[in-house]
Amino acid sequence: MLILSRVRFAFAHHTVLHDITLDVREDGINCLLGASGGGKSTLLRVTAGLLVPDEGTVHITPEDCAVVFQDPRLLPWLTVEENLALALPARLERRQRDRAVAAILEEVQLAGLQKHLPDELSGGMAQRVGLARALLRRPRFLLMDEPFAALDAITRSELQQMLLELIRRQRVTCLFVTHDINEALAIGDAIFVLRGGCVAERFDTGDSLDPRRLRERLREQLLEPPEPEKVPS
Amino acid sequence: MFARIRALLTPFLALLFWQALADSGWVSAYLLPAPLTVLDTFFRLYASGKLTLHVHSSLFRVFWGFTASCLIAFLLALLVCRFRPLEELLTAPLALLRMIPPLAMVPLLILWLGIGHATQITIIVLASFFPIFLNSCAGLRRVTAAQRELANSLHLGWRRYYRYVLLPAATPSIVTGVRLAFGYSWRALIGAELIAASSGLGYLIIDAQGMQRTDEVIVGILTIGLIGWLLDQLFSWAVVRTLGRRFAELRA
Repeated sequence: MLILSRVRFAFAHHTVLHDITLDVREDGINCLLGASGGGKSTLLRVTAGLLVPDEGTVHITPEDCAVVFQDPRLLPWLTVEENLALALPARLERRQRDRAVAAILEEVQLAGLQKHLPDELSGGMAQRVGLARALLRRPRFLLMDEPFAALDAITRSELQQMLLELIRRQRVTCLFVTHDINEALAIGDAIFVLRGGCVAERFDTGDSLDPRRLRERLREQLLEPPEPEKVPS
Repeated sequence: MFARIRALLTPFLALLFWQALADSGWVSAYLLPAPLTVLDTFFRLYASGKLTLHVHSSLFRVFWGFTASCLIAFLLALLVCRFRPLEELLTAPLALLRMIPPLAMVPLLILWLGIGHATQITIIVLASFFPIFLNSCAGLRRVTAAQRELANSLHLGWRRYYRYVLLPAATPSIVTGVRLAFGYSWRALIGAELIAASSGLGYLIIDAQGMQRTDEVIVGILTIGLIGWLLDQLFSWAVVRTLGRRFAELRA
């Protein structure tokens, strides 16, 4: 499914994204893999409509997207329930709101934590609330910006499993930014290597490529020097 | 428990020293009446209804002046933070006004508004406007880029943005401003009542001085301090109780 066509984006005079076209796998996890400063987060923000591209077209509307940021970004003065309610329509009746919040908390295994404040939650719990808030919007596209990068290995693995199940159940198309090859291999249905502001290559994990070879290939791709002139895929 | 006793120790020792000084006869009773005499005068003024009348008068002015000031300062802060050109237009006049002590305006205010509530309330507004205004402005600018981005990604309308993001982010600053402003306005009111009033605790003091009743002067001074302190404590208690859980900065 084509979501971006020939997108270019620059901060002041520094071009971050060069002519990017992104054709993602629907109802699956599409990992955007790249080193720090490679424009992954910018690409995600352009897709979400949070940044306007200088050139090119975004084919999806911001209303269809929900974003999970690297830090959970829960408003510290609102309870879990109130933070989640921000993702629901303002005019929703209280009873319906409570029901929706309780259901999504159950899905992310945080049932009963409605009245807690963000500083009473662990990092992993807070990120689950962040994920729950994004899913409450019933998005077609779930855009995640290194959401598990700050978590310990065990929590990260738990959340990756949870994400896989949720994506399968809710049938959303996920764009998942990461710099971790193992994470991309663990959850990605398709992996886009972003280098020097261009999509250098796309891999589908269902392809016949043996996982070890794929890992090596990804590592080589990430380590190659950037080639901004390269025609993107 | 011990901390509470320690906190009361200094005032108790000061009282003892004061009583001893008054009893020693080194200082005349006119210049420094003994604490027990002052206590006696306090009860006498209270029983006659005079003290209640003046306290009521001062509190009435502070209540209305402070409420008006909060409203004006906060609304102006909202407008200034929303519309940049307005900020540019108001910067110079407000900077000038900020440097003028409210009491310097008393002669003009008496000319324009006479001696009475209007002058006193205006003095309170002038005294408490800036702490509230400046702290509200600082608070309203405390929303981080990340929080704004979150609000955009959630497509919050402006009403929800103000209610759930902007105003809560500004709350700790606003509360600090309001607390500071209350102290300023209480002190400025008493100052104004000393010059231009026919009632109020400031007037009680200046009237007692005219009658050479030093004990009444001291009753007035201590009542001012006590009421100011009590209201400040009440405010802090209410803030911690209502906002303390959600705002860690306000718990301290």
